[in-house]
Amino acid sequence: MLLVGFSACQEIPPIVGNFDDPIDPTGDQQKNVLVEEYTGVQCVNCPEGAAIIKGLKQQYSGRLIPIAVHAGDFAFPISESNQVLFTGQTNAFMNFVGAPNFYPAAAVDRIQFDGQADIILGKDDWPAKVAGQLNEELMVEVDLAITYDASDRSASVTVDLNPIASLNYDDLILTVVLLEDDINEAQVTPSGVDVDYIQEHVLRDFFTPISGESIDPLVVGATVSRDYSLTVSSDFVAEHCQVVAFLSRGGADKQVFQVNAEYLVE
Amino acid sequence: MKRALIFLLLISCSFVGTAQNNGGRLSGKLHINANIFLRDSLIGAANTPQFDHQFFGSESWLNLNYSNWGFDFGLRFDFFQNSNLRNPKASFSGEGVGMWTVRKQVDKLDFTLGYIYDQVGSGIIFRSYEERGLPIDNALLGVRGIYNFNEDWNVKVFSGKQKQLFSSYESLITGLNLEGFIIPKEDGMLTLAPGFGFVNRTLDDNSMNALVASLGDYGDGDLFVPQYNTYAFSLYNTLSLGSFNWYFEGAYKSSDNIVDLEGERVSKFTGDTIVGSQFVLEEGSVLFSSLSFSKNGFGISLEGKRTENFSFRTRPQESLNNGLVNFLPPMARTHTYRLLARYAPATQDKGELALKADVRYAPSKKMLFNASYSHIVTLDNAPLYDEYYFEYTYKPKRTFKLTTGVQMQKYNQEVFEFKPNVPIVETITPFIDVFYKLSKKRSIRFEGQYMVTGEKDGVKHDFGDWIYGGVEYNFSNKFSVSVTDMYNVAPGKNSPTNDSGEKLSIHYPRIDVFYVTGPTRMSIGYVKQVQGIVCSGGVCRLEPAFSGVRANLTTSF
Repeated sequence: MLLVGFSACQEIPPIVGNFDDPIDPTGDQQKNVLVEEYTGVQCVNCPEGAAIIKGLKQQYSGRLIPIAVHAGDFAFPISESNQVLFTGQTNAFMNFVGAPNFYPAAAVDRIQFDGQADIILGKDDWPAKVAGQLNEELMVEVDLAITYDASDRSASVTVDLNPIASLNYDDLILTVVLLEDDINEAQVTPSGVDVDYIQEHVLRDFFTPISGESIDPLVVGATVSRDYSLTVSSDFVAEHCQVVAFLSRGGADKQVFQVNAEYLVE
Repeated sequence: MKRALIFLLLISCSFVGTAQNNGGRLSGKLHINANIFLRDSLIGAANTPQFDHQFFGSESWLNLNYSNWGFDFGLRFDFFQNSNLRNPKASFSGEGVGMWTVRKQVDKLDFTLGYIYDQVGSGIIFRSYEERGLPIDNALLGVRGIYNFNEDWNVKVFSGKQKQLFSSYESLITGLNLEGFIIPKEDGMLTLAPGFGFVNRTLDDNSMNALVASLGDYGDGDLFVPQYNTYAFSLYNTLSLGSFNWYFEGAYKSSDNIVDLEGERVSKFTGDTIVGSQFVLEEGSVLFSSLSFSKNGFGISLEGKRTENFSFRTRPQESLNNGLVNFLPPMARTHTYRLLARYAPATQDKGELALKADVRYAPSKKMLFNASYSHIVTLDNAPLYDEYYFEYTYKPKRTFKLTTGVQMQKYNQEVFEFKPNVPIVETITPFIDVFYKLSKKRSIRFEGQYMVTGEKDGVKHDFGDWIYGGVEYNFSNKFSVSVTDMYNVAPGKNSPTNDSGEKLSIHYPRIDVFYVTGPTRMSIGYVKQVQGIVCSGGVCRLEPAFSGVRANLTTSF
């Protein structure tokens, strides 16, 4: 009777494939989503993860801001490597959020979602979690004003935090990092080593401490500004660099409230 | 949560005082693993929180069982402190109730509430079990009823959600299992033990939404309509006829959303070709048979298995050993000797064809010959694993035993360890094991193995050649010491290098002290361990390199 009952049930399937054109951004600042992807040149499956992020970035037109964190054993260089993309800082950055048990892995707004055992998510969970976070209420606007002097490679950034809702937490932190796109660096892929592989949004340097700078609780209408600067390494191509700033909590709960990014050179 | 745990502990302890007075019976088991992490960058025992700054980690499990008033109660507390068991690269601390059960028998009905460990047939369509070393604990949190029609036939139904550490997955699993025992002729030698199983997994809304979101980037050629429900059926039978024994099981799974690790699709939004894992909708099947015969010191067994698309998980997004609903029988021999167990093939749920033959012959009580052969290929006939094994055991008297033999393997490391473009690892490993009882309480055992690996372009496969030696001395029935060393005598492609890039031959020593008293067993040891994989029943886990001190305690009461 049980079998007859089950086999007689016709389920109503979900609707799939209804994402047609990329979503056009509106003029006002909307809730953006931070995706910190853990990767490495020895990680054979990471190009697939990068491709998924690229697709999501295309789909959500700039509202998804990824950071590729080269860290862990898979980030050690291979014989075809020209430079080392991981550093003690990128390892420490990964350990601050939590080291993954598998690659590729990513944190989406540093949230441990219901039903997940960890902040770190497998790639098959990224699309849904990104889509969900994009619909969350925006609680603070993050604006960046960047000045770059090519003569001495000095970069200055002013970050304005404009709270729309009260953020009464005593563990708020502001993290500002420097990424670089368009890095031609060999990558292990399922079909072998690809020496022409282009690494995107690679975490390169930090304007703030790795664990962020403490920010006092934010009150609606009271904008908070912070200034940072660093000298861009001559190993980086400044025109490919972007500054990413995000406000989050820094305790056991590490939720990211808002992230924004601007290129170093317009 | 901590207060609730303390409350439960106090309640449990109060049973100890009242158990004897109220006719109840309390029993339990305690299991503790403790590790002191000593950093050794050369072997890769570094760059994790434990090696970098925590230095100590442990896992503990306390089982309590109480029977009274016609009920059986079970409870288990799990404690993790800076543990790297779940994630070898990170640190996990947490504590909670790992398991609880309430069981009652009413006439012919036996019902259980709580965390249920059970299986259907050999586990091909359903198995919930605990294997702490991997770690796997996929108990079903729900209800189970077993009705015994008579002493030969029973039916079992169960329903619940799979455990996920201290919570549970949201998908629902429901099943039915009918088993019986038939003796066609009274006083006849033929017996039959047939069984039928059915399992349904209903995907939860959140997992379905995540799947739909992923499919949003699939082109029309790869897009499919995912299924909430998957139905798995299994038919099996054990036939016994004198010295013959034949087990057969056939299983079928309806269309299920699974992952093809060797997929290739085009991104709808970027137009790029993405090579790697891809969601697909596929039916699955498994055929498994085991035939054995033994008589007059001679025994032979033949096993065969064909698997196709039989990944069965609580949700398709889970990977590694997470969310497993079923268990596919392994088709390779299980080894306890260190080097022989180094390359163990993990069961491939996407597809494999496997054969195994084992022959034993004991011409007398003093001697035993054993030979076995395992052969595993993909459904496209690509090689996965081959093993030839021969063993001779000589035991002329109670105080002496010699075991010696040789193993030859071909192991597809690219498939089993996700290492692209590495050659198939070929090994030949002779071994010897000598046990001598010096007196009533004292004994000594010596063990030796030598693994020779193949080469590609003049470089040894994987870590290259190894030599392993060990001595275990039992001072008494209670106290023993073991000293072993595993030496990378001829380094290979993946062996550590020095700053000049030169391959290093490294020792991996281990010294353990064991103490047994009654039901309590304790051990402590200094360990240096090379990275590898740990397998149990065809389910494997990456075991990272380790350097430090390990202590272990088990007891029951």
